[in-house]
Amino acid sequence: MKWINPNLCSMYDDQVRVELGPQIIELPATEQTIKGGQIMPYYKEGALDALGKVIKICPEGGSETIHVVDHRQKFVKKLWKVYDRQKTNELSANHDYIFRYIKVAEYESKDQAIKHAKSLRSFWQRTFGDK
Amino acid sequence: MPFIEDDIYDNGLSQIASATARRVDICQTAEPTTYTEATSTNTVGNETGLTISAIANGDVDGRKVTIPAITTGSVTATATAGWWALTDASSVLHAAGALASTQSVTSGNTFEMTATDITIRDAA
Repeated sequence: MKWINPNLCSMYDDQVRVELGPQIIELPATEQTIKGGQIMPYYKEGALDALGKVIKICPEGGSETIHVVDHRQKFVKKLWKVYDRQKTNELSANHDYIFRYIKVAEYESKDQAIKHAKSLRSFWQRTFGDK
Repeated sequence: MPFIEDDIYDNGLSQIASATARRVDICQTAEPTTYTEATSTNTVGNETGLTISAIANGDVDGRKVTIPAITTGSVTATATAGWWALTDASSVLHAAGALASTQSVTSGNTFEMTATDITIRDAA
């Protein structure tokens, strides 16, 4: 296990990672949300929200929502996210399968995230055994 | 203005301008929230070896650095890109933001991106 920086841990020949990051949250797409200073100013009308929907301001009480990354933890805490490097069904230009770190869990507790990460048998281990 | 990481507020734009390695990724699915998501989970293309501008006055106020225009970024997956992310190519997500609109990209092609300012505004 190697800490690359205080927020990023690498395990099993970098097949598993634990990284601290903000959460994506859903909020009402009202003027108060979008212009009230609680979310990042780049979430503005006409721009993309954190899930790729074009932001439209709706009236108070409306059902429209937006998704934003809560970078400054104004609504929810950052979480320790556990990623496992896995083969996807996507192909590269060379027709090789693309490997990606897939998020498999997230925890408020760093210790719990590390415990979960340690329990993962990485692709490397599944293929070549424990090292 | 994009998301800017805390270290840049703490240590200033020199955190970006003085970095020895930088990488810009274009991303799919959702705005990346970590270095891992920016460079692996959500990436569909990247450009490395970028030279960030020297720190200069912001267009309105404050100070800025500029990510240069990208003309030969490598597309690594066939998908729809909606975000960009600037990292140190090692372990830190420096900044991220949405593209002006989503864009379909094809693995093996190249992508272009206009120059992007990262500005710390003066206090209101």
